[in-house]
Amino acid sequence: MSVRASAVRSPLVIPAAVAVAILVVPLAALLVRLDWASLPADLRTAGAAEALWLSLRTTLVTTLLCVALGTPLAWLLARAESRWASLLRALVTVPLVLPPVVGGVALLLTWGRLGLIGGPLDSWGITLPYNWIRVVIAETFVSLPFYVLAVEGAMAALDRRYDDIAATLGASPARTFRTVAVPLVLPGIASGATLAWARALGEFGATITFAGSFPGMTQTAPLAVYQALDVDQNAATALASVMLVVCVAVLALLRGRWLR
Amino acid sequence: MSLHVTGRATYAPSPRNVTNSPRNVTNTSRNVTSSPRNVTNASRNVTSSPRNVPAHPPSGELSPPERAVLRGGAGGFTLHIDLEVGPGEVLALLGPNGSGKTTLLRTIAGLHPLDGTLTVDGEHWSDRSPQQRSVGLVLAQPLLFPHLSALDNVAYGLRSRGHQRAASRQRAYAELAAVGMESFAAQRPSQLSSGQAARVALARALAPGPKVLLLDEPLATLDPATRSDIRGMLRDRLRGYPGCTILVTHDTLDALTVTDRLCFLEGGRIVATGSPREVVARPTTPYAARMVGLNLLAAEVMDGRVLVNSNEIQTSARIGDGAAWVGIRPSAISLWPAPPHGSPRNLWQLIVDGIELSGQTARVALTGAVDVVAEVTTAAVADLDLRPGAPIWVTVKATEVDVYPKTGGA
Repeated sequence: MSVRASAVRSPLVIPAAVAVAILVVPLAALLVRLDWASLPADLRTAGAAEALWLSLRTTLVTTLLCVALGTPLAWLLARAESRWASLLRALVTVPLVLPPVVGGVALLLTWGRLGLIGGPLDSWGITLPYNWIRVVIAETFVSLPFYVLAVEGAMAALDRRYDDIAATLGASPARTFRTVAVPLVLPGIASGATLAWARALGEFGATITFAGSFPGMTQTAPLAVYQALDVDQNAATALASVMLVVCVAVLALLRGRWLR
Repeated sequence: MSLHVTGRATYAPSPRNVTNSPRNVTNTSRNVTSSPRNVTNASRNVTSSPRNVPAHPPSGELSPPERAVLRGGAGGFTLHIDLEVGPGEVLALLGPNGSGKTTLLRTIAGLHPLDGTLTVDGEHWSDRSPQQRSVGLVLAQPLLFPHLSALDNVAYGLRSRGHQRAASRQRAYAELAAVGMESFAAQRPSQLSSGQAARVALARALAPGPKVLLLDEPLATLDPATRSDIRGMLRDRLRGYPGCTILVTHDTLDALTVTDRLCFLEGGRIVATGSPREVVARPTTPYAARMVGLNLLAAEVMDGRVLVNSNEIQTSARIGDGAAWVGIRPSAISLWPAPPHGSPRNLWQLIVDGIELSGQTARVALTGAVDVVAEVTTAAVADLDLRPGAPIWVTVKATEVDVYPKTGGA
């Protein structure tokens, strides 16, 4: 028996146990209520296949957008020294704390017919249809900050003397980014992408506000769960459980490789 | 190929550009004398001082001299430089921490702005980006790109300059062979020892054939055995290098064995230069004297009499009146329990300030009318019952006292 006082036997266990309960009990409740026999029928009622397929497509496109646009932004933020960079960093963080519904309203005012971008587009005869594109816009709006902050953190921690060495070896800033910065922060990029993907998958408020909830068009899995709740609680439970399983599976898959 | 840099560079540490290279931790025995140590301590603040410094200390017109002195806690300083390095020459840059050595290297590399001119091989480099210059940079940590093999690390510079992959690798392989690392070409940096990584880092810097090679304490983080191994490799490799090399070091042995000329920097200014031989024989700054283990006393020569702290020093050397240095080798100092009799010599009663043993030799710091370090046998320490605070009689033969003018020399 260990002589050393063990943290496991201290009073700290009580709040820790409460915390675990807060997190785990609802998940258990979901699975306990699940009716295995009627699962296929319930999923059909909820329009699960369509919703999940839409969620899968849109969240993947969103994640790719985050990586393609967010990685250069993260690098610029990590290496910029001016005061404007701090301001920019703060601006990038705003959607992180903004209620998603407010984000949805802001997106409407941007892309709507009278919006900042939608207005000029409308005069060119282009209107943003209520389809998956709107879903991607909403999801990217809420996910990108997660990605940028995660990757910027990894890049800022990268020893600047690598940049210096690369520069003296003749590497342009773009080449340094491509051949030094990105390869060295791949784990950060992977975890940032996972965060962004998870945030996009759970996106609800901005999507329903900006894209609506049209089955097959803009109704992602979370929206379908919400709508099913009105019609048939079993259907909602079924779809919600499937989402839980998908999320746990993805986390488990990535955990071994990149996430800790 | 030659390098000439003149002008100013202003240094203001910010948490992001402070380099954390561990400073030379060996050779504490050199710091036997206690008073000059303050210099190092004061200047060390520079590299670790907090952020409450203006981003750029006032600059503009040519600064008055006092602006060049190190501003201890505040952390910023201005480097005033006029330096030339000849083709194939290896210049050692020495000085206390925070004296501007690294800033000077970064300025030459183009990583730090220069208010002045930098000419290399007849080309003006002042307005060029690091990429447009032709420098090789090696730091205390090898900083090899961890995701690339040793070969691809060495080939990186050539690839960046637009050379074909095959040709770059071929050249990189030859460069690895020149530092004895050809059999490690496929290894990742994590598989290399610190000495092997140091070799690859040198090969990487030299592969593109830079006109200027900048080495910032390249041996500082190596253990003693590896250090002497890499020092030998460095000396051999630099012998065939036609460009200009500047080596920043705190290590006396590096400076004396690897380099052709020594340049001492203090508070952002060059305070002395000279060949290793000159510096060993007649150092002209306290830092240089401490480095080569010589006692250096500031003296005033009046009517042929040599005065240190208004005590006259007997010497067989003859120089004209004016400010002078008195140099005394620690081994030329004899210690006595009672005043001895005999030939003309300097005799003082001093107080033992500290003792450091190194094998059979002891370095005894003495204070009083003059502050000197004596080198005696370890047996003498016991025989004379030396201990801090104890008085002791000290003699130095007049023929062992070197006197040379403060201006000129090394």
